[in-house]
Amino acid sequence: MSEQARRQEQGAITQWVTFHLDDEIYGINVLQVQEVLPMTEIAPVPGAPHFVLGIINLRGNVVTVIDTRMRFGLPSREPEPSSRIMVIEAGDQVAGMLVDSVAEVIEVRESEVDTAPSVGNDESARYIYGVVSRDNQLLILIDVNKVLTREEWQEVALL
Amino acid sequence: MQTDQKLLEPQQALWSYLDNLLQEIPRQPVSEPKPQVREQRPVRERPPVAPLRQEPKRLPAARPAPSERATPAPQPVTVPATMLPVPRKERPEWAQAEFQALVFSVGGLSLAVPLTSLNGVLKWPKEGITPMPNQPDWCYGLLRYRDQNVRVVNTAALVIPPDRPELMPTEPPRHLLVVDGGRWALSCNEIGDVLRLAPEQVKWRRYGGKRPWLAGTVLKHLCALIDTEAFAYMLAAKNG
Repeated sequence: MSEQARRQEQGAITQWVTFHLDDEIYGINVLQVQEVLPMTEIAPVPGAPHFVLGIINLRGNVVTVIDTRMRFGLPSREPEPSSRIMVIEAGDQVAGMLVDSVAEVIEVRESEVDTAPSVGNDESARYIYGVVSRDNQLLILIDVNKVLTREEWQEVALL
Repeated sequence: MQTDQKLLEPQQALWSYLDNLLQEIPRQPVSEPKPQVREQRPVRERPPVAPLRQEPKRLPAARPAPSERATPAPQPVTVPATMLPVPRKERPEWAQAEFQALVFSVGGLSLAVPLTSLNGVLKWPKEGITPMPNQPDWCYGLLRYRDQNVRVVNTAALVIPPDRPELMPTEPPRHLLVVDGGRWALSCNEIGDVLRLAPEQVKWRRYGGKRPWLAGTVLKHLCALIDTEAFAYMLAAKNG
């Protein structure tokens, strides 16, 4: 089989920005990541949804920051120097996701992506794109478009 | 003497738990599309069953036979979603003749799994298990095993009743038993011997009851024999 045919069989290659929450590693498609910011002051917004930490000023624009740990069912933790705010695009929405740290950009072949078996929660099954096995570890790929429901995205847009 | 007393109490708790497993569940009228002949059997006298805590799920009411319309219709019994009835024979197919089972322990509870249902026995991986976002308490996460993403289950959380905290493990699990074609892995603390059992050496459960995963109890070894097919069915039902 020619090299080209082999590559076609294995599927397209996509790039994913990886980040950490506790000891687990997750990935977001690089095309959905606008930029990565160091930790900065997040202004709380009274009456904001529970999954919103607050807002930041990004070059004159207001960006809502989502509590990613809470969204993924993890206990809250004070931000650390390694914490980062990933500014992501979901459709026409822009938001920030606070994560413990950002690692690297990796390449993933479509053939490497396995469907994640559900583990008892429809909510997480919605936004998990798949899992990839790398270096004896499972990388969980996230579809940011589905991290929030349509109604939740609308709430974010109103802040 | 004090040491003996300390040893006696957990042992008594274990015997009491196993004794409950061996007793039949009180037969209550159930509205389910089952052969009517089952509801005609006499009910044994036994202590009342404590109400279940979980949100009950109503079973569809069965249409009464013409002969029953003259008598008061039985009150439907609500069954939690976690106890979906499993259509099963009195004795699983693998237990029609002599079979082998691996004994393992989960906290203070001894369990056994038939070898025919076992896909693998692993040590708890050094790299750990990958937890999934918003996973339930009974699930540890995913494990990569033989090119499959295996869901790892907290066996203690599923099989040890909440009113038996003394049976809960005090140490983290050390082994995994892969079952259901590699879809699930059951956590356990210790791996024991392989037993060769004749069907007569097991007290078989006749109905799903409260513990559909329980195939029966191995009398001589006082351990609960798992029906992995029913266990997997229960886990799949929990998954929604």
